[in-house]
Amino acid sequence: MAARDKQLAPPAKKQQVHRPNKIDRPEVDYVNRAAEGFLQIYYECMDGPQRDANIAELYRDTSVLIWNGETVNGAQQIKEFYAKMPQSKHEIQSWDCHPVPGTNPTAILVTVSGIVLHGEMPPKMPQTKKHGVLHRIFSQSFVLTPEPKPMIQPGAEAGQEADRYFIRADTMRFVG
Amino acid sequence: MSASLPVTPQRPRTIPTVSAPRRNVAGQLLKKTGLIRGNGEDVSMKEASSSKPQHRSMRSRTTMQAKAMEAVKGKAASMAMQRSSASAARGETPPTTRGPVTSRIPKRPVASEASVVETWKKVVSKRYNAQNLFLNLDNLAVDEDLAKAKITITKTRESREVHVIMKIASQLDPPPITISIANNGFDGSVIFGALNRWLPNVVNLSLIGNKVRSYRDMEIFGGPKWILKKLREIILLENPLHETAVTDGKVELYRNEIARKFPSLEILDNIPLPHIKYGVAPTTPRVPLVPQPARSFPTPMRPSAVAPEIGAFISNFLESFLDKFDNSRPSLHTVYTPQSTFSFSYDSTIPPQARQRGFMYKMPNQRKLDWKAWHGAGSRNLMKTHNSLQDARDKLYTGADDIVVGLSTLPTTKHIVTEGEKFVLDVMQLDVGAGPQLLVTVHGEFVEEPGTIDGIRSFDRTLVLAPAPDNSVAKINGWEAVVISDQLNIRAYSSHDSWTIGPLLTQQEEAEAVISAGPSQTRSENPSAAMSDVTGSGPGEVLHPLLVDLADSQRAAMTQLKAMTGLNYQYAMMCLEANGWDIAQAKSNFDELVNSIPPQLPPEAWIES
Repeated sequence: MAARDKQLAPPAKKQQVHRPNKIDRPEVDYVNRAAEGFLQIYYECMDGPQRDANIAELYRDTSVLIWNGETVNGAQQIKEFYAKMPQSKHEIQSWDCHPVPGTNPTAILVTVSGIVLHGEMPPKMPQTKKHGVLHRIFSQSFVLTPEPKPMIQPGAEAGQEADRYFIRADTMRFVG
Repeated sequence: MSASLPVTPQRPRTIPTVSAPRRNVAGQLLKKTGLIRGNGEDVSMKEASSSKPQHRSMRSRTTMQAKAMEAVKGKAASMAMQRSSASAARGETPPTTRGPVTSRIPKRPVASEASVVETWKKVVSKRYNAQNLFLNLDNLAVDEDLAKAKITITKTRESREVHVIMKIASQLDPPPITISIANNGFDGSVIFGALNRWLPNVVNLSLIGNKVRSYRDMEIFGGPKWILKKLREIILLENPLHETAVTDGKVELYRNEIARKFPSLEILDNIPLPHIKYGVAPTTPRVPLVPQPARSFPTPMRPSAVAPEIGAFISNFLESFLDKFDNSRPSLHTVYTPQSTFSFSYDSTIPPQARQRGFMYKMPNQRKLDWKAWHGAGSRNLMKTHNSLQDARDKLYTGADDIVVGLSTLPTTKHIVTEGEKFVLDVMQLDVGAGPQLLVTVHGEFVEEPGTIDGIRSFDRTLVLAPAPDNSVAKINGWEAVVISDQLNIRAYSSHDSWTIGPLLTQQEEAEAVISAGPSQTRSENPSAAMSDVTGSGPGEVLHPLLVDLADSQRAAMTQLKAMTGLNYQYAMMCLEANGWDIAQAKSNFDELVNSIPPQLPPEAWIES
C-alpha cells in the first residue's frame, strides 16, 4: 500500500508545524486498540434489542455514571438505571482517547460524539412528519481502568494475563 | 468511514474526508444505487436477491462461537487452515454424477447462469466439512469441477464470482465458522466485501496467498465501522500488505493496524495478539437486560453535576483557563505538566435538530464556517480511517512544551463564559492516579475567529485535573489545578437548549405525538423557503436543500464541480465530501469513475431530482 500511495499522493496539504518537543509514543497504539475494542462492545451491548445484560459487567462498585446530569453510583444501580432506559441506537461520529498520565496501571480517557435515537420508531411515519424522529447529538466521556492483575499462578507465564478494563467513570450528555 | 468513492483504492490515505458524516445523503444514496462496493454490490444472479438475513440472535451467535472454539481446539481447525491449500487442491471430490448439461452443448464457451450456480453449489458443498464447520475454498483455480464447467473466476475487485461463492457458502447449514480462501489471488476488498455481506460471523479466516493490499480493503464504504465482529483468528501471510510490512520493517505497526480493524481478534498470522478484555467474565449466552424496553427516559434533563463544595473552584478555574485559551494560549504552558496530554478532533456531522431550526441561515456568520482550519491543524478523530496509528501518535501532544505548539495551530476562539446558560459541566472525582483527580466535562460554544469570521461552534471538552502542588510552576502562576489530560471536540453549532432542565422525550414519543396530533399540526419549518429572505434570492428562487447547511466556500465548490461535470447536487456533494472538498481532486476522482470500465456512476448522477 505504502508504495502505491506514495506514487499517487498529491502534495501534502497538511499544516507543517515545527514540534521540537514532540515524542513518539508507540505505547499509544495499544491504548487506541483497547479503547476501540471497548467502544465496539459498549455500544453493541447498549443498543441490543433488549440491551445486553453484559453492559452491567463493564462497571463495578466504584464506577460512577453521570447521565444528563443524573449521578448513578456503582454497577448495581447503573444496571437498574439502564434497565429503565428506552431502546437506543448510537452512531459514533468522532472519538479520541489518551492514556491518562501518571496512572498505573494505565487508565484510558475516551471521548465520543455522535448521534442517537431512543425508542422504537413507529413503522408508518408519514414522510412529512419526519420532524419527530430527529437524532440527538450525544457527547460521552469514559475513564477506563484495568483491574489489578491477580497474582501470577505458578506455572503461568508472566505478562500473559490479559488486561481487563472496567468503566471507572462515564459521563453522557445530549448536546444537540 | 472510508474517504474515497468506490473504485479509487489508490487514493492516498493522507487525503481525508473533511465532512462526510456517516449518515449523509451521499452514503444513503450510494447504498440505494448499489454503488457501494462490497455490501452494496449486486451479484446479479437471481439467487442473490433471496439473501439470508444477516441478523442472528445473540444466542445463536454465541453458540456458533463456542462451536468455533471447539472446532479449533478439537480438530485443530487453525492448523487445518494452513494445511488446507494442499488438500483442497488435490480435488478430493468423489466422482459424482456428471455436472450440469452445459458441457454437452457444443460451441458454447460459457455455461448458462443456472448451471454455473449449480456447479458452484457443488463445489462449495464438496469443500465443506460440516463437522468442523470448516469451509475450504483454497486454490479454486485448479478445482476439477470448475475446470470441467469452464468456469473462470475474476480476481479483481469487480469480481462477481467471489460474491456468488460467499453467498452459496452462507446457505450452508450449519453455517461455516472457519473459512480458508488461501492461494486464490483475490483482490482484498472483494474478499472482505463479500464476507461482510454474506458471512459476517466468520470466526477463523485464512487468506494466505491473496491480494490484500491495504487496510482499506477491510473497510466498507458507507458501511459499518467494524466488520466481521466475531473474527478471532486471521492469516494474511503472502499478501502484499504483509509483505510490504516485512520489507519496510513495520510488522509491529501492521499487527496493531489489523488488530484495530478487528477488535475481537486474538490470533494474527498464527501469533497471538496481546489480550485485552472488558468487564467481568461475560455471561454466555448473553441475556437481555430488559424484558420489555422502557418507553420513556428514567430521568429528566438535570443541571450541571458538580458537588457544591467544588463548584466555585471549578468555575474559577475554567473561567481563567478558557480566558487564557482565548487570549494568550502560550501562557497556558504553566497549567500543563511535562506529562500532560492534549489532542483535538472535530465532528462535522450537521446536527439534525439544529438543521431543522435553520441556524445555518438564521444566524449571521454560520455560513462562513468550514472545517478546513481544523482539518489542517490535524484532527485526531479516530473514527476517521485516514487516521492511521502513526497519525494517532503524531496528533497526540505530550508535555506542556509540545501542547502549546498544538494549541497555537488552532483557530482563534472566544468563549463568552459570562453567559452561563450556554455551558454545562459534569464533574466527578477520580482515583486512578497517585492523588485525587477530577474528571471535568464541559459542553458549550465559542466564537470562531472573533473579529473576522465570528461564526459559532459547539464544543465538548474533557479535562482531567489534579491539584497544583505547592511551589509548582502552576501554583506560582496562580493555578489551583494542573491539567493532566485535555481532549477537545469541536462540532457544528447546536443550541444550548439541548440541556434545558426538564422533561426529555424519546424520538418515539415525539413521533407518536406528531402522528396523534394529525395533519394540521405539521410544523412549517421549511429550510429552503425560510432561507430566501436571508440569502437575498427572490421569493421564487429556492436554494437546493443540500446547499442549505454548507459553508459559502463549500457552496462555491459545489457550483464549480457541477459546472465542470454536470453532476447533480447529490453526487457533486458526495464527490466533494469524499475528497475533502478539494475541487481538483474531486474532479480527478470523477474522471476516474466516469472512465472506468464499467462506468462507476449511474445515469441518475446527472439527473437533478
